[in-house]
Amino acid sequence: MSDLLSLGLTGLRTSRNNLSVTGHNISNIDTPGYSRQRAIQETNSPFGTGAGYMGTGSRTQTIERIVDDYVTHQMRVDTSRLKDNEAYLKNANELDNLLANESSALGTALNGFFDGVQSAANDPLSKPARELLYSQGDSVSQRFKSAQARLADQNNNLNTQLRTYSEKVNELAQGIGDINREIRVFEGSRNQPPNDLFDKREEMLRELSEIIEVDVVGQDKLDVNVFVGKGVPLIVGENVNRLEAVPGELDKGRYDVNLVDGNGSKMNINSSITGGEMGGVMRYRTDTLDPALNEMGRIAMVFAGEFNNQHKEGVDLNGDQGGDFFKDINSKEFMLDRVPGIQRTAPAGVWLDSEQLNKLPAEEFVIRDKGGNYQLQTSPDGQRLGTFANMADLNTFTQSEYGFRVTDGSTGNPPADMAASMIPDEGLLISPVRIGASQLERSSNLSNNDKIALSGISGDENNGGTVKFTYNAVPNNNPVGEQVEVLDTTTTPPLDLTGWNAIDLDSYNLNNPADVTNLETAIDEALDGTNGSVLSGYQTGTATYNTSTREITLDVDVDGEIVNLKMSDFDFSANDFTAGDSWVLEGNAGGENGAGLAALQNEALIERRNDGRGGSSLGETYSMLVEKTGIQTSESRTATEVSRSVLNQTTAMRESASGVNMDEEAANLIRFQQAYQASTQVISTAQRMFDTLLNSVGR
Amino acid sequence: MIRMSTAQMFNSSLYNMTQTQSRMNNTNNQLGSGKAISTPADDPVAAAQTLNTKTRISVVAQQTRNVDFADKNLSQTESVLNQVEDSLIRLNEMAIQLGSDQWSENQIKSTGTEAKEILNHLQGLVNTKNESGEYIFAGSQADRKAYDGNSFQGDKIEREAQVADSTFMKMLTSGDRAFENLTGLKTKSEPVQVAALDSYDPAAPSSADLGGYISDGQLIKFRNQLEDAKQASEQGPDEFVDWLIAEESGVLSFPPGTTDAVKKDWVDANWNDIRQDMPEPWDDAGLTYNGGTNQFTAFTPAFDGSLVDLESSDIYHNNMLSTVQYFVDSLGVAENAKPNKEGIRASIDNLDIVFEQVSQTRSQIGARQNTLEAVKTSNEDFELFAKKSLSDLEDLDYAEAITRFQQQQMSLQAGQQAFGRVAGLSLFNHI
Repeated sequence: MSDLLSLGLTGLRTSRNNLSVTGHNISNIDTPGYSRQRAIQETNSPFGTGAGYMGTGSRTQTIERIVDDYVTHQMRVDTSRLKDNEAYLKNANELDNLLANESSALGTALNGFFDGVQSAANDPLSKPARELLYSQGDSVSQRFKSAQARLADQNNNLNTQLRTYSEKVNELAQGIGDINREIRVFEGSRNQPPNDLFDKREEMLRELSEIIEVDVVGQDKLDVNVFVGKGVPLIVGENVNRLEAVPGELDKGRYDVNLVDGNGSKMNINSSITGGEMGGVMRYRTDTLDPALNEMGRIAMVFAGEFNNQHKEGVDLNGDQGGDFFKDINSKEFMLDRVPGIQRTAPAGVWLDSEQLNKLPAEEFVIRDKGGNYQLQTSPDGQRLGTFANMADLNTFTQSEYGFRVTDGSTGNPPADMAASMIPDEGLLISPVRIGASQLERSSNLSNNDKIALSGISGDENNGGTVKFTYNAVPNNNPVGEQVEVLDTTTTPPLDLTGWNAIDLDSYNLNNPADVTNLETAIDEALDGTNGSVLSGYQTGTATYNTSTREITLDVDVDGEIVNLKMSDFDFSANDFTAGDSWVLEGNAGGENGAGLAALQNEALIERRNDGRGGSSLGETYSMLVEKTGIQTSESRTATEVSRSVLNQTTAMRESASGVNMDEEAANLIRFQQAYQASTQVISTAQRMFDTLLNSVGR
Repeated sequence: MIRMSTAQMFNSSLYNMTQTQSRMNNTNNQLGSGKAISTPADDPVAAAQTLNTKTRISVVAQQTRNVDFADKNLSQTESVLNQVEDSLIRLNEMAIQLGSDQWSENQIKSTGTEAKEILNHLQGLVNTKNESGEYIFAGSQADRKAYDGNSFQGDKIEREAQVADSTFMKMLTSGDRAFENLTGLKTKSEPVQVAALDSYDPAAPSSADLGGYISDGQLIKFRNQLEDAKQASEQGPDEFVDWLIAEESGVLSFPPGTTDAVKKDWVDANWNDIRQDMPEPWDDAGLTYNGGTNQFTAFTPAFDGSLVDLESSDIYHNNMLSTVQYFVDSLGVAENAKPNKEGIRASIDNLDIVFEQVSQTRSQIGARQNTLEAVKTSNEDFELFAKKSLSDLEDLDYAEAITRFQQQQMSLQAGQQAFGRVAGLSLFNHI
């Protein structure tokens, strides 16, 4: 009988536990990260009698939570992936809209500007047309600048985001570390699993995986160690490292993410951050924002440089050779700003070769000092371009390959090379065009619209040859305001190539400096009459042949004034130079240079090969940028959709295993209640048996 | 069988509804803007094509504006040339009329007044300005008059407008093409006597006004006043010696190539060789010409005691205005002048030559305008085509979009109803 009573009691206790667990499930139905629990019930050890083993009832062995470790892991992976894509998409959408929006798109601004150029070229004496072009110069610069400002804002925004994310990571990591400790304490004291703490830790790990991809490695079933990115330890048991987002070591404007360990030593983990919002932001910055900034900057610099080059080939209303239309791309502060790590504090700058703007890359570079040798790499992918014994060699390479030199940022054409001692241990970042869009502004030399140089040198309509004469552009380092005075053009006799003797270019090897000198001598003789041909006013011995641009520069006496001219568009064949062809210096109403300026709109200025083939125009380059950004955005849109539905599936899997089902709990509630009631009946039966016994013997 | 948790049932219904709402929102945006592509990410390739097409459209539209501008300039030039032709026809009629012998000097002279008016009119026409203030015939020197008097001071540059990618069209016509460089003119038969100089007095150098007949780089000829007498005796040498007005500084010099023999032939009033009296070297006889006042102010002792006529032979240029000027001069309009029958008759041919060149220029302009017309049509065709393809790329197919919208609407409604039903189901309702 007492057996029956205690049997009933065990049943009662077990059912009550079951009911409690059910109630716990019901009340946590909406708790994030909660996994449904169940009480594991088992039979007590039987009691052996002569009649066999008698059962002694049931007991609750443990409360277990129902989880699938694979699904938990998958949840974290999929969360990271989704958040990565979402963060990327959010930023990319903004850029995408900025680039395509009619009112902010640079393509529209360029078109408007070139319309202005055309109108002015059509009607060079018209003040309104000139004024329009003059103010279009301001407005196109304004558009580039505001686009640059928007992207710079976005970049700053990313820095803030990185800082916020780092702080959140630290908070969560600290929490996880704390829970690790608590779990050890709880488990130790009861030797039963602290289910709710496990849930809490898993939820925090999931939250962590929203920010950064985590690799969770369990240790003796209690602690977890957490690694971020590619094996960087964030949490080891109770020891928690910190992340910090700080101004970058190569560029203060782009934050680095460092891992700070307990001893305070720091490690840059930029490249190993993947997944999560932080990974998405970093990926957006490297894959989309930086290339977009570089491409926009390149468009601006090539535009300014080439427009200036052409503008200098013309003559303005005052009869002066044209000056800079846009501010010189090699202005001192511009050059200094192209080395973002130094920020004007020391003499280091980047000089762009205005003759080779077609080679300018939309890329960044890093120079590292490798024990006296200097290694040039692309940034951020780190592709090695070469190792050089000194800065001069390095600059020769960059100038011939990319059209820029790393200099001391002073004036000069080109300025002196940068001192190698400027390169810090971590390397020196070279950004030739990253901030180019902010460096587009109308030159202060262009003080009024009379100074827009629209006329030039015009060939006679009956000229048989292709060769063109232009004023030679004033070199970059000319002091402000110094422009070559051109004489009153009416009294000037035409330039005239009477009896030019063809030069066979094939007989010269242009890679050999001695041969170039021989060629120059031949040109000189052809021009000064040694071989019977005469260019009127030609100054003997001044012809210089530029093998890369394939142009001749020469001095001509125009009515007593020596003018530096340039001959282009020829290949030395007899057809290019035709005896008797003549050229006239235009008056104020001439539009030769205006037409040249307008033609820049469709010329393949960017990445054109030296032989003049390939390349794309400013507008096309911009369209390609829009297309590239569009593709990236659209890809990330798809990726976001895909990873969202993957996460949904995984969530469904988790919910399927661990989620609470109300109906199930309701059924359980009834079931366990009935069991409970039954157990009380057992007790009641036991009691009645006892009563019966008492009554029968008590008489 | 898959086990569903309660949260999952709610979540999946909710997720489906938000998805449908977001799609509806997208369709709604498309319907509102009429564009199928709202950002490049919707269709990156189409977006880039759209941008390129828009750039092309902008370029072609500008080229069409250039066509209009060029056409306007050419039309103006053409109408001026039309007026010039009319005037030339009138002058030619006069020349033919007056070339016959039946007219008295006075009659010729009075007709000459009309010719002079026409000349003035022509002088005005060649200096026509357009609305930008350009002298349309001055070439690239259009900020100043094309003609100063009868001499052309522009250049031959004719500005071009870009009317298609590789087509440039001259939108101006230089006076050099229309009125200059005439060949075969006969205008030099009668040098005009400019002024007579008094005898030279070293103490008080005399001066002679050239009255604007000469300018830099022109030849003038000196003639000994006694030349007529000598010619009568038929023993004098060539009485003319050319002198060149070299620079604005006004120093007179022998033209290049004048031989010493010619210089030597310079003789004094008494038919004596005065070479030895002239300062060395020969090419600087010490004559001073002041370009500002058009006056000679001094002679060297070479002319001591002699009277000298000063003539300018090159006052007629090979251009339209000088040809007309010659005709007017031949009519003897000036005071004390007599009509010159030879000149009038020569003018008939001269004016034909002028007319020929002007009408040739006019037909060139017509040809240019025809080309412009063709280019414009093809530009407009392109614009139409480009706009159509732009529309194909980015404009919305409304029928499709509205159908889509309704489908989405239905699916949302269904989702909402299902949600309501599912939410009401619970075992707790029954215990």
